[in-house]
Amino acid sequence: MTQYLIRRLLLIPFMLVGISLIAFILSHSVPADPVNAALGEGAIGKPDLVRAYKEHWGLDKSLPEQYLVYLWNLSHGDLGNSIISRRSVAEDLGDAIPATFELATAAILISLLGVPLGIWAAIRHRKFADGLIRFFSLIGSSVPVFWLAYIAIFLFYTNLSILPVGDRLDTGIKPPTHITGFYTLDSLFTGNWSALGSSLHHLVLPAIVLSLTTIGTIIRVSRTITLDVLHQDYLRTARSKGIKELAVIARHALPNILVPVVTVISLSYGSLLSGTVLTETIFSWPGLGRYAFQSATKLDFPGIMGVSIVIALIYIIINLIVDLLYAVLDPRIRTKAA
Amino acid sequence: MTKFKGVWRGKYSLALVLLMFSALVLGACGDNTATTAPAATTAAATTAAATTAATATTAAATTAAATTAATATTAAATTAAATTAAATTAATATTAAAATGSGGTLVVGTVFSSKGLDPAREYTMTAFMVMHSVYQTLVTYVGSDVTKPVPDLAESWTVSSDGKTYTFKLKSGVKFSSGNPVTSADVVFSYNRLKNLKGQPAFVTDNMASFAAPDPQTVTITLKDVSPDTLSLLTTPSFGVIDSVTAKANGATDAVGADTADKSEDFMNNQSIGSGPFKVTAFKPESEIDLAKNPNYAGTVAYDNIIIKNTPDVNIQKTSLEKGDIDFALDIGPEQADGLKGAAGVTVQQSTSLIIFFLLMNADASVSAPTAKNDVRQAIRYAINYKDYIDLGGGSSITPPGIIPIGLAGALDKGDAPVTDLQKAKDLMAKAGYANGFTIKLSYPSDLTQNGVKFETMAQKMQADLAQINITAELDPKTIQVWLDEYRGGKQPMTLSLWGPDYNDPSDYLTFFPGQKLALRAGWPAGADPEMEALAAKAKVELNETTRESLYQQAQKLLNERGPFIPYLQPSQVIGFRSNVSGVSVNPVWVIDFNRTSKK
Repeated sequence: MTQYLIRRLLLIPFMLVGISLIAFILSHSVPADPVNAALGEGAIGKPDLVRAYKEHWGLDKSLPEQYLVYLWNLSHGDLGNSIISRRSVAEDLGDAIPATFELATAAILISLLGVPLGIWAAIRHRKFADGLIRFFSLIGSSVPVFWLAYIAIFLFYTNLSILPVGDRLDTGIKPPTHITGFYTLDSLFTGNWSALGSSLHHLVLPAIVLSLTTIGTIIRVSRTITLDVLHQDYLRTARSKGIKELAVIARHALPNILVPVVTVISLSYGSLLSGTVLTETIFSWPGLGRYAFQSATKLDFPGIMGVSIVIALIYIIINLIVDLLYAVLDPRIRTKAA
Repeated sequence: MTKFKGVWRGKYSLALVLLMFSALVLGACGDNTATTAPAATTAAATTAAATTAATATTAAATTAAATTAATATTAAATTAAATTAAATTAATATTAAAATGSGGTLVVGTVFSSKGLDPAREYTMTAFMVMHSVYQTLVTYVGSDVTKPVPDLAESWTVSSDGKTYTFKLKSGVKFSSGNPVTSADVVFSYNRLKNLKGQPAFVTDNMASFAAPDPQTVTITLKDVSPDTLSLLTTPSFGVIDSVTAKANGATDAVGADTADKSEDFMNNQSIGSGPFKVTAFKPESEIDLAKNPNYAGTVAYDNIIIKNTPDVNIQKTSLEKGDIDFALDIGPEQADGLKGAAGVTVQQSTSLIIFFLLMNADASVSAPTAKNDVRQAIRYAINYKDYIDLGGGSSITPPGIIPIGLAGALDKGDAPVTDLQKAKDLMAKAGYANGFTIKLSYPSDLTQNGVKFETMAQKMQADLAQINITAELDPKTIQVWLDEYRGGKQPMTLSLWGPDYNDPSDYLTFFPGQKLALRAGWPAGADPEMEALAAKAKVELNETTRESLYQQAQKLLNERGPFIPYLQPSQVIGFRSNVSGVSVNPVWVIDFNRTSKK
């Protein structure tokens, strides 16, 4: 087990180099010049300003040279500065990542409801509850998230005035002392109750909207797998022994359902973490998705590279955790790995 | 087991039905409250403040002017729709007392375009808005009038007889937020830093040879060439004066080589060291900029705090304004303005922006043979249905009479605006030998929306207009960065583009004349039209204002007759704000001067 973990961890740097190379090639193959994106009409006509800009950002060097410089800095933990905003990419990501983590975690916690709902739908196969849950999951996974967002905002913000929209805290409330970057946790740790209330209040609507997209998938997968499991011989055996249905499901079916469900949940979590441009834009949530979008549209190479590496890292780590979780959940894998 | 199922099915369905029902009822209630708002307030809310190219006649060069604000008088409550009113009501800007310093907090919703706040580095709308509130310039503009500079840090100024040396006397007793006095050394430091930092805004100092401080209250600027746009340039926030003592202590330098030697960027981005009415207290580039009253500011300060929030979604901006969560919505377009009609407590102010949307037709025969012929270009000029674009722009949109927008000195009269005449267009096409038309690529930035108008929509409209005279325009959408590359390369046969003023002077439009930057993109080199070039060159250095304006007008008339550009729309600028805010007028460079507004 430990050996397996070490092997997996050792692979990470190589994967990151691969990812950075792909990201570098892809972003530089766009037929546009980052200088155009960075300089306005006034400066672009002045050769000395353009030259000063290129020299300052190393854009006058050849592409392989630029990539090697980037790798060298990266190996020293330096993600560079954005060529558009000139701010440190690491610093910007340091602000954006916790914001996205907080939102994604809240959304995935809500989405976990999809597991019991999916199982229940399977138990009630082709009955009313099943139809209702399937309808709900269909809406969740097929309706565009921006539309859901606007409807939710219209209802809960515009009409009912019970939930706020935009930003992570009410206007005038100062963010809590930075510990984790999660406003809810930080305010809880520091006993900053007004910030805690405000941050929870601001989290509810975007988290629910975001969870609707993942809950649909989780319900569907849980339901399908449960249906499959429910017809297995060993369940029939268990039932025939006179064990109550609830106990049959909890003790005999659930362990078999959980392994694939965990995969779906963690992949959904990964996709939520890699940022959700639309939700973050509509709710003015200063997260990773918006940062990625801005970097991409402005051809901000260090920004694009930074985001790619962070997202790759998130996926690598989640996959690792999932593989380790399998071992916990499934004794067969445990034996194999050991 | 059967019992277990039945009970749950019943409970679950009941709960769900109840939930859905209550949601519907509550939703409906919300609607009712919105529509049954008291008639009086609704009427009051629709009052339109007209600032179409406001003609504030504030006396220039008097100290009095600096402390008075040109507040557009709000039209009477009887004026119905804000949109139409703004277009028809004459701009009656009256001089009123400056903001009374009512205190409180102003909350502004806008789409952030800025990551920093350093006057020598940033060149974006959001930064200009903040800089104008925290840094003072030698001279400035008041209200929406951008033709007459008035004193800000300078008390008075003189221009040498050869027009190349400007001497400014500073007001005494002005202090930075740090408490340090504002001296001529600070001005010279700020200007040299702007020049030597070689950042985006450095080009504004191009014509300035040197800056000097002969005594603590005097600043002289020596120009390379005579240039009547100097005062206008000095009003831009890039010329904001920073506290040189504090700046130097934090790594700033104004020496040659500042582009690598200046280490103050982080410092300058996160606070302000100016003498304006406000100072920056917090800067979060993704979400919020906080300003607080500068305790050392000599004049009245309208608010204790200003909070500028990044609101990237314009529909949310509109909703937040309606709910009163923000006092200003700066990025709403014509669509949101329509949606706000009749909204209680909200004023929508439409004014004509200084942005010009234009069609570029390449005059280089090797790039595009048909449009190299002036008859074809003139035919297109007569084929465009200008009125349709005004509908797209909404509110106070107009058809610009020339490349210099109405509202700037040197603009042509509204009567000179192009008209649609299909017959004439067809005749010209026949004369050019293209009676059966031709096929041409029409490029445009497909992801760009400016002042609420999508380039995508305008390109489709243009395609239809061109089809009327048998020109088949093949749409060539590109994302803005790719489009910019092609546009700046000058190889597009035909493209839709736009120009907004870098500073409020017609000289910013000389770029459209042969041999200049924009003209080269249209394949129009120097020597292409000597008569026009001579006029433009004369206009550039003419010091007599009346003669100067007339020269610009003559040059533009020729540009309309023979040039490769058709300015087809000057769109509306929509600003939404709570009706308890007054004194709102729009400046094309820094948008809103917050200290000249007030909130009841």
